[in-house]
Amino acid sequence: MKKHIYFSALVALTLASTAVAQDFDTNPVVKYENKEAKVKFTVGARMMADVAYYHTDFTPMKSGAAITDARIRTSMAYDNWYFYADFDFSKGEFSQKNIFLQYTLKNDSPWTQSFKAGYYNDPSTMANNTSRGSLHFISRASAANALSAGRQLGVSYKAYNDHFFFNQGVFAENKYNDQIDGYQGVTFGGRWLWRPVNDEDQTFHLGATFRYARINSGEATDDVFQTNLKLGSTMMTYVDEFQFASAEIPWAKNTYDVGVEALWRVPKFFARGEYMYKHVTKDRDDLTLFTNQLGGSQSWTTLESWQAANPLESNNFHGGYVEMGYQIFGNGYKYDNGEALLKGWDGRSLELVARYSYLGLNDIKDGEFYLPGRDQYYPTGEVQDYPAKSTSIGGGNMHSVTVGANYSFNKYAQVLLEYTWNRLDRDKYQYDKNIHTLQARLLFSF
Amino acid sequence: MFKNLIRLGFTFSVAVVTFSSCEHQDFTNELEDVDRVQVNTISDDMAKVRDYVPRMAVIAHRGSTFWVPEETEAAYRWAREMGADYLEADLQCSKDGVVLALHDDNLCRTTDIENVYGEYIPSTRKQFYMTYYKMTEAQADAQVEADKASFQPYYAKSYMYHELAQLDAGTWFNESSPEQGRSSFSKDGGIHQYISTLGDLINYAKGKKLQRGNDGERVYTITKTGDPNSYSEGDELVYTFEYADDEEWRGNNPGIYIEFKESWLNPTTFEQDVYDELAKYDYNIMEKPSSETNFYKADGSVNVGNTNGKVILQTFSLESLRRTAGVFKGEIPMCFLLWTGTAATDLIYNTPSGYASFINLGLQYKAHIMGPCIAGAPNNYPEMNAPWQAYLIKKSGMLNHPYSFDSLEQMGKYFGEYNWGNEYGTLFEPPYLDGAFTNRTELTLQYFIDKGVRNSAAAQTVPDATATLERLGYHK
Repeated sequence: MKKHIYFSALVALTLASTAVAQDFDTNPVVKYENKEAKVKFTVGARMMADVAYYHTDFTPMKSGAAITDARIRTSMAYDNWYFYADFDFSKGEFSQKNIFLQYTLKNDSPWTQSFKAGYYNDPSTMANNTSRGSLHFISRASAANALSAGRQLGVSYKAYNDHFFFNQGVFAENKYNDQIDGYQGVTFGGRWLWRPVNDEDQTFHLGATFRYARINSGEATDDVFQTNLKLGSTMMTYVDEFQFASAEIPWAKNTYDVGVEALWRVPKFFARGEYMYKHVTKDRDDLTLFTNQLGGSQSWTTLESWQAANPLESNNFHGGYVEMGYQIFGNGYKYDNGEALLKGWDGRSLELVARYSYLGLNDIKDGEFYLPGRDQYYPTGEVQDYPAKSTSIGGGNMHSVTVGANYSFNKYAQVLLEYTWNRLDRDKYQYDKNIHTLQARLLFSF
Repeated sequence: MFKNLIRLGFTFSVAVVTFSSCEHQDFTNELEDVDRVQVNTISDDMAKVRDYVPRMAVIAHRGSTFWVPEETEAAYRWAREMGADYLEADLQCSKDGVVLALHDDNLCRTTDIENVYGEYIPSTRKQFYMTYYKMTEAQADAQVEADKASFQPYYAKSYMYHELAQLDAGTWFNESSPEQGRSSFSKDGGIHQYISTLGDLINYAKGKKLQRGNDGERVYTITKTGDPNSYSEGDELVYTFEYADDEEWRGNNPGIYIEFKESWLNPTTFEQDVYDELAKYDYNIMEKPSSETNFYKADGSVNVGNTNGKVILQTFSLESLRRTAGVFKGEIPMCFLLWTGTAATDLIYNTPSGYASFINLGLQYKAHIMGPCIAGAPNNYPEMNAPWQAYLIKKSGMLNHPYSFDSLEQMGKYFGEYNWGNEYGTLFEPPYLDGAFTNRTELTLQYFIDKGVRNSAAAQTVPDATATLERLGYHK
């Protein structure tokens, strides 16, 4: 045991690992297998069509219907090697999804260990490693959308047995190296779980996540290199992806994410949740910026005075969600040991689901005054012509409650119906308090 | 399996039809949003102060820039004699604390400062310190050196009033507007037009003109506080300006409409300084309220300057808006001017919600009037007084004083002449103003009279613009 923990910690700094293809966890229909050559090849596809009706207090959202997922997937397994790739063509645009190679160590150990390299979900999140097709909801929770990492290019190492799960990796900042300026930063993170109860009838897991990201890519203007971080979530829908809750954090340089998670399932019921906390530190070339502004009659004349007028502070955001499901009939909820996730549906079933999600993207300093017509915070608490720049971020706090019913006709086709009430508190959208979403999805996967 | 697929298809079709039939969609549009945004309303106490201001006031913008060199004696005498309700001016401060009625912070456009002083501190500065501050030569040398550190060439705040008084504020007009130019506007061979002071403006409104000496130059004296024979730190100069009865005055006493400029151009005590200056000339109703309430005299001449509406304050500056509220406490009519853009004081989001937030800010800081800019030649400002915007102002109970009118076409536009009945019932009913900043006082007065909105107690004829200039002694 000890050596696995040690090994995991070591690899967290150098390598990584992650899920098989939980991103797409139903079994493909088209298979070719050559047992002599130890080769197995599969092809599959998935389609999601959503229809949504929105009712907002003020800012409109576009109700309608859309193909929100249209994927082709393929995999090949050879001996201990597994290759997987899937691509999305929904909304008429190609988008890179997973493409990775995985090597699994085969030995007599109760531990299963694997190495993985390519482009796939960062391991430091339960929500984003759960396939959209297996989510039991139309979208991931707003907190996960805004605060969790998505797919990244890198390597990871995973080890698990019935009671423990360790998955960690190192990743690059940009999968295509097509940033405007700068060299890529690096991230590393992982997910570490303990499963005190884990058998056919019941699973309970408890875990922690951590992720560090160094932001190196950005854009240089007037010899000043600026990095930027954008966070945000849709209203947990894909038909209109407008983000009422969103934040832009200029000069972001390092992000530290810590989280905890829990999952409990019995055949007829599941509950799972995560809490996420993000700390963002910043870095800026003050000297060059100061020098660039010199030469005007209104220039700051000392670096100290310029810095006082343009303070730079770190920001903090957080969020979390709790999801529950009750299966009225069906084959029962199952748990995937290798991914430490709930499995998707596998036959005719009917379930009721509910979720509470909270996203906190407001990091506003006490006593500041906000002027909507300028979307500006005033640090002294009253309007000024040239106030010191506020370090507040008013990205919005949002509570969301979702209830839904999902019916699976069989293991290939499913219909989801969902209602979400979002309660927004964002200064920029002062008249948008309630955003109602009623949506349905037809999901087909083979 | 086949049965299930049929069931699936049916279910999905029902869902699509159900959702498609939900037709209500809250697309944003100004027509709806004007009644969905929160606009606060003026309080009863504030409304009383608002009502110090006559409706459909004609505000001579900088004195009326079309006809006369702006913010000079010529401009304000002409506007007064034409019958404007208010003489509009911008306030700045000279280095030695004189409150100026002056628009541009940089003096190059409207004076001959480049020829007179160039980019250097006036060479007379040392002598000035010795003569008026009673400094020793060493003290004066040291003070000049200190001045150099903060000297900004051509900025009014860098010059003593006595130095500014040497500048010619009239000749430039003859060069930039040759058709309206007059030899009398020029210092050379005409009547020296000065950078005005707030005191000058008040006296013009009272029917006065500058007292001039035999050399044609204005008369004023400079004394100092403290020991009259030696300088001590903190000593200040006191200018005493002389005014004469204007023999061409025919009874109009307009009010003054004075703007606090960008806050960084003036001392942080500037609002208080203006308060004191108004009091000095008996023009501060907080110190000396007026008992007269008629905006017009029995003969139709303007009497606003003798009522509690004699002064209207205005500013674009958010900081000055706040400071003005602190000093004047909403007891003198105040106009919050609007401009849209991305600069420090601009409304960035010119939408119903953004616009409403600026109205609410105005009310929070005790403004009674909103002053939006208007579109149209020759200035081609951005449009901030569209019907929906005027509606929001009206809804707040504040007055609407748009700026600046230059043509009858603009007058017609904001009286709804080109709406062709598209006013959405009575929602956006014209007119879209309660007064007008105008560069064509004569046009605006005549339009208001023709339209029947000029107060019936006011004169119903407008003097001829050029004849008035001639009468006042400004000849071609």
